[in-house]
Amino acid sequence: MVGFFSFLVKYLPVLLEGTIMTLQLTVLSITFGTIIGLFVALAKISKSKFLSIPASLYTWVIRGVPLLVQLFFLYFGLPQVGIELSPFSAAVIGLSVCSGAYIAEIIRAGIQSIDKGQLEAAYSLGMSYAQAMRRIIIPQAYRRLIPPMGNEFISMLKNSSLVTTIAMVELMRTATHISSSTFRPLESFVAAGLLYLVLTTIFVLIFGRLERRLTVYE
Amino acid sequence: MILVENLNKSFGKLHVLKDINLHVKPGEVVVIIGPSGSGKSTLLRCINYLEKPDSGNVYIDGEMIGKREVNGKLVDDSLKNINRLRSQIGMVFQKFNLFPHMTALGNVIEGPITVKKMPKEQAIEKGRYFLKKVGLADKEDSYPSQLSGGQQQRVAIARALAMEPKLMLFDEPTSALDPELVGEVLSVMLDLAKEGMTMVVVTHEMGFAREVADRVIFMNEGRIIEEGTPEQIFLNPQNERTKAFLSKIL
Ligand SMILES: Nc1ncnc2c1ncn2[C@@H]1O[C@H](COP(=O)(O)OP(=O)(O)O)[C@@H](O)[C@H]1O
Ligand SMILES: [Mg+2]
Repeated sequence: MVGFFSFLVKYLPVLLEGTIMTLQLTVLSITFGTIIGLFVALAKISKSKFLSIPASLYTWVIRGVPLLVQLFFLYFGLPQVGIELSPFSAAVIGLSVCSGAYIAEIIRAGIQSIDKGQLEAAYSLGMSYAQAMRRIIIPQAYRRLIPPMGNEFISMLKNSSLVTTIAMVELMRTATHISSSTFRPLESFVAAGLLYLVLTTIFVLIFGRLERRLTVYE
Repeated sequence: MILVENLNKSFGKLHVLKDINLHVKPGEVVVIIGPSGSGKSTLLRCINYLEKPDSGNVYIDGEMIGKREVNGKLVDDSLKNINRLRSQIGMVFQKFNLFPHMTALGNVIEGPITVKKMPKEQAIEKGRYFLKKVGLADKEDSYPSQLSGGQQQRVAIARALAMEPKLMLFDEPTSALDPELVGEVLSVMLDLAKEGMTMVVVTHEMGFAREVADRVIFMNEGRIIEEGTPEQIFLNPQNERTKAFLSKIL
């Protein structure tokens, strides 16, 4: 136990650097994923097949193929056709595209859970579809999105450890490095696990609080 | 004010509106009655184009809604134009459909600000005026969930009025309310009617119909079967179906 403690003190600075990278990757990919997800969700519920079919195709493929395969495709596959991505770009693109598909489903379900009468009331005031979405539907859906978005955030945080396989240096890879240079894999991965646990716990608390703040009017 | 010509509407194989013709003059109050499923809501929804008719035309104040003439042919009108016409038609729903994430005042100023681009100050002033008109001046900061059904429906009426519509459509505005809350909503509608608002009201509140309706229309299976003054329809109906229906609800 004492051994573990001194191990932790010694390697914590490096591990924290990895943790910060993990956090950056997660926040970036959730941010891009939310932007992608919003447009894909709107495309999916659109009456135009021109929009809804590609959007459905996207969520079908991305949710149906393991993230690891997608990351390998980006990092190892694309160079074969002359597209070379840095580990960071491949990681951000891969994670964003992946979370985009899940977030699209979350947003679509959120929008469709809003009573049809809301859209009709908005239309009857003379609002356009865009105005009704922006002023009436999305603000209501948004509150219902907090819990599933919290889950998505946390699963993205954990999934981001997969990018270690494409040479991205983040928390998981840092732990692997330490493990192989110290020959102490047990301590290395317990430490990494603890740091993941700290992060996920913090975000569970943040989202829980957000949820409580936003549901006052209901 | 409203002219409906040979309106037909089907949902799949179900022919819901059959050759409806209706003319509502400015200031007139028309009450529509009829059994559930006879197409009353669909008719109102076709008037403000929430539902697209299969054939026939609807004119609001002389302007055709949803269609436009180009080189002698009728084509679908632009969404912008449809929205503009819709903004002149107030609609009140059975289930209120207030925006739950906005206060009472927020609901009332939403249309003027978003649709009419009215400055916020002015919209608030107007919004307060209409809330006062429906007797809810003290509730402007309440959210819909904090209001009774009757209060919610009055906010919904204020919300529609804030757009200063040319006419108002009411789709069973009191049928989702507890009996003791019906009166407060009807009295707001009564005042409106007396002020000369053009109104089409789907309701089975016979007292209201008798007091303010210029005309009562009985619909059955997608057709207008009988129409006349409240006295004619309620006291001396001619059609067998009207008689059968009235005997059930009176
Ligand atoms: N969007 C819709 N899709 C399919 N059928 C509908 C739709 N709206 C209404 N209907 C059907 O049309 C008929 C008339 O409905 P409605 O106009 O709501 O009648 P009412 O308001 O007189 O009760 C009913 O049989 C109803 O089930
Ligand atoms: Mg109805």
